[in-house]
Amino acid sequence: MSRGFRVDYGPTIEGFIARLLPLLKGDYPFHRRAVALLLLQGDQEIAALTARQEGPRVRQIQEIIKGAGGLSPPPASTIALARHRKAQRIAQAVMGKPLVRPLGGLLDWLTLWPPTAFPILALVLYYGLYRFVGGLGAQVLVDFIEGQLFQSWVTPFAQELGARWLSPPLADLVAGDYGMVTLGLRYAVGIILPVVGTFFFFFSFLEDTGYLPRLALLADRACKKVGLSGRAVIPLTLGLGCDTMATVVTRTLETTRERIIATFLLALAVPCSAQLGLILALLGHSPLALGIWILVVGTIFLAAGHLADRILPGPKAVFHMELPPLRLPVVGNIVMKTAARIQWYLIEITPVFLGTSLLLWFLDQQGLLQLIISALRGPIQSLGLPPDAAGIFLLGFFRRDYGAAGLYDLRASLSPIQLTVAATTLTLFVPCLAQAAVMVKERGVLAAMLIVAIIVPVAFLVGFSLNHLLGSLAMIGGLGNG
Amino acid sequence: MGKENSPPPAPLTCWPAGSWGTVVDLAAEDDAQLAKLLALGIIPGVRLRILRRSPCWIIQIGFTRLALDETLARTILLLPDHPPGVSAFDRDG
Repeated sequence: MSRGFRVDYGPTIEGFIARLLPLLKGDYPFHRRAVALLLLQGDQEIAALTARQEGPRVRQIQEIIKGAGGLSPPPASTIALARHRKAQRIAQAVMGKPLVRPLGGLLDWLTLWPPTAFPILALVLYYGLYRFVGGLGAQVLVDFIEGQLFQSWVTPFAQELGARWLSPPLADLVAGDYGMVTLGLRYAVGIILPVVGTFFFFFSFLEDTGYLPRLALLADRACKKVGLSGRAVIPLTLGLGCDTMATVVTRTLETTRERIIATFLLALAVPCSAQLGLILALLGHSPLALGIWILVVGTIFLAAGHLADRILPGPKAVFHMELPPLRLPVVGNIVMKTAARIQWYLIEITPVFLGTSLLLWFLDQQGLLQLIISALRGPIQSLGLPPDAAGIFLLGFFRRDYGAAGLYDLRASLSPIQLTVAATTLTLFVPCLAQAAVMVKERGVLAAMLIVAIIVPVAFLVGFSLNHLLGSLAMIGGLGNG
Repeated sequence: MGKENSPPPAPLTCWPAGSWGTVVDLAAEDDAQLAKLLALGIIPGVRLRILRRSPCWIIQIGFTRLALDETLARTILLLPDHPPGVSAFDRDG
């Protein structure tokens, strides 16, 4: 028996505990009083454990619990209140004046009052995501690590090593088009790491200042429109960096239903940083084309989320979050949290990219890649695109950035309408192979396949319709000659 | 606890920002939702204060501030301390 600290739950609950204790004779990882309390609170796991441990006494135990279940207020509520009161008494005994003022501080108030809260939110996202992650991470650091380190040092070194010591197929596995070093490692460390690294830093900063719950709170209404709670704003924004990473982070959502919707939306309509960069480069010179792309992808995002919310069974997402006061961030905390997350990324995501390049290498060796590309030529032509674009679409599945990069090579020969259609279809089209692998791992084969089976026809259908719509509009307005 | 001239208990969403009150019951849809509310410290018998109604419901219980959406806020049946809207500096939201 443990002595000292004990909460008195009042005569009724204590009576039930006293009746349960002599019946609990099995082997439990914690005190029998705690087992009795969990049983009275209706804990399913502990009920199953008791059923296994107590054999013939189970019926008597169930009788007692059933009796307690009829109480008003329910035992779970009485027990929680007793604990709350005890905690309050302890706090009162040791604490001075309350430290937290209700909504104390002007900044605190400004970040919650909608007329100022939303502009502040926009500023935070602009400087944090666009300037810091998008500018410093996706451009400066990627240029340095991928552009300088890999292209000047790592890749030539791997190619040299492969050519000298390995036979052709194995040399390709290390340093070929789909090599573990030249694709897998370059991708994981050269392109994604700088983006998610800066994102993690920004994220840890928001967390440490206490702003993060406000972000979720302000986004809650908008997220509900697509069947998600405000919490989903975290994986969804992370998706703009790396959808593979973001799909892993959907774990933080409360229900399976929310996780499926978020995974689906990330795969369909959230372009990752690799795609975003190239799409901006492709369409950036034409504000109209860029506007159409944003409009179409945004509409698909909202419509798909709304439909998923309507169709999927299960309770609607609810939102609750503790709201800490704002405080000055501590640099040490931020660095430590960022480092821990980067370590997690390296352990969890890098193997996915390495495995992806292994699979691609295998398909390439067997000639299967070419086979799939030729099968895609028909659908591609129906989008009004040249058949050569088939290769780009397929590689877009395997490597989203490569798909957009291939499109970049074709840019000279494509009309603005073709570029807009191709960029839109590629954004919606199936995620990169690493993301597909993570989808299978996190959501299971069935859900992942279902998501892919929905996305492919939707992407083509939207591309097809957009091509025809823009074609007809161009005849009227002269867009085609831009 | 409620005084004689207190209005009857009603869902938290019916009361203005600034109200103090006591939780009298939780109209949770299921056991999981009830467990969630209890774990957050929203327990029949505790006193809380409504701080904001928009963009989300924000309540204060002890030293803890919680943000809740409409669905969860509606499940909390609250008995206000005194007729609401009397205090001049409690006009948030």
